[in-house]
Amino acid sequence: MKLEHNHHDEAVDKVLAVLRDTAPPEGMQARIHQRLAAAPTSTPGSHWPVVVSRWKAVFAGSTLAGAWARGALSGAAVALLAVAAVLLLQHSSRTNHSQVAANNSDAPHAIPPAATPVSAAPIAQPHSVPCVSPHLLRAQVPVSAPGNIYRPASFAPSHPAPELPLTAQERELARLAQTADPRLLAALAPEMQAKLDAQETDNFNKFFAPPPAPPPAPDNASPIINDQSLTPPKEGETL
Amino acid sequence: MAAIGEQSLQWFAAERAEAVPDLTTLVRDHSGLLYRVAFSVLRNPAEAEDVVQDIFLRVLQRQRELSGIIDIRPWLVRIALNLALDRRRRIRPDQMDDLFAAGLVATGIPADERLAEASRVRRVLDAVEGLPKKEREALLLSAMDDLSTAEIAAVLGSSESSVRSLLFRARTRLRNRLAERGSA
Repeated sequence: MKLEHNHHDEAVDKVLAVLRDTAPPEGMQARIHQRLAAAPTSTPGSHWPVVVSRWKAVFAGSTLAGAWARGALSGAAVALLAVAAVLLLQHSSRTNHSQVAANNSDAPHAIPPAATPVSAAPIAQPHSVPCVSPHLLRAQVPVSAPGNIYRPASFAPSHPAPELPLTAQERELARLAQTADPRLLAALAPEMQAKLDAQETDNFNKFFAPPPAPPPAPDNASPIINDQSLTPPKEGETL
Repeated sequence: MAAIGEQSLQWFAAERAEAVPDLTTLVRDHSGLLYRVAFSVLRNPAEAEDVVQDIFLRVLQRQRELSGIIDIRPWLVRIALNLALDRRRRIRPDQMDDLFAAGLVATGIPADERLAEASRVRRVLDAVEGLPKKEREALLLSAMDDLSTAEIAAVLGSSESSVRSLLFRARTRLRNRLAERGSA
């Protein structure tokens, strides 16, 4: 058994020895150089990859200089971020103040219609206000967007007041409109009411009007009453 | 300011020139080892040479990163192993094993003995191919006398003790499989 194992080990060693002793083909190095010469290389003179790899090596290393460089760069980055944040806060607060002042100064003179956004006059003014960092002025603030502008209450769009609750009379009318007789409701119409009023006036006039004169008698059976007979006699005149 | 920048660039360039070996030197020193590593995986001379050329092409493309590499030889061997394994998926090295086994057999012996010897070499190659990946890589790299156990561990990304363990298990497994196939 052990002899058989040794036999197999020898076979394995023989194969591995052949793999180890394999010689590369002749001219392989020359062919490699030819292929390398034919291959495109990166543009010469560009030092940035060298600098980047150098900094990568600095950051990847565990030396004291590497640790110092990492700490210094991290501190510088934090300081830059803090300064940028302070500048942005100052700029935004200053812009808000100037816009509020501009809006308040314009409000008494001309109030724009509620439907339109704030006009360009109060918006153009903040650009003339000096800023802490001049390059921040280059940023185009979308001033025409209504949501980005502070507007006082006088510039706010008006809305109708909420409806008041019904009075007692209105409630009674509403109840009648739902429950009363349709004929009574029809009498509430103005035309119908006017017609009824006219008819009532006619009835009144007919009732109080003087009776018509009786028709004249056909013969002399009855004395004719002359108008003169009804008139009283004058003084000194006899019947 | 410009003078300082130019001076720093010159300093970087000079330091890089000192740290990074020349590509010609790399080809001269390591092409033989890389060829053997690729050949042990592929067992095809033309494919192994293509792998070596591809290795140095990659080195040429990443020449500026060489300064960050501490030990360049395990790095090159790792590239050779990976490229050879990639190429091995495209070709079929078992087709080359017959030629390889026949080439190993001595020519001065009778034909029947030559056939038996070639068959035995073929069985060994099949058994090596049947090993687990880590064990096979450790075994093939250990065949290279140029590589120490520490370098093999660096190539495989493991410790030296684990490389020794892998080698022991690979040998034992090969022995058992060859014994099973020999008796069958």
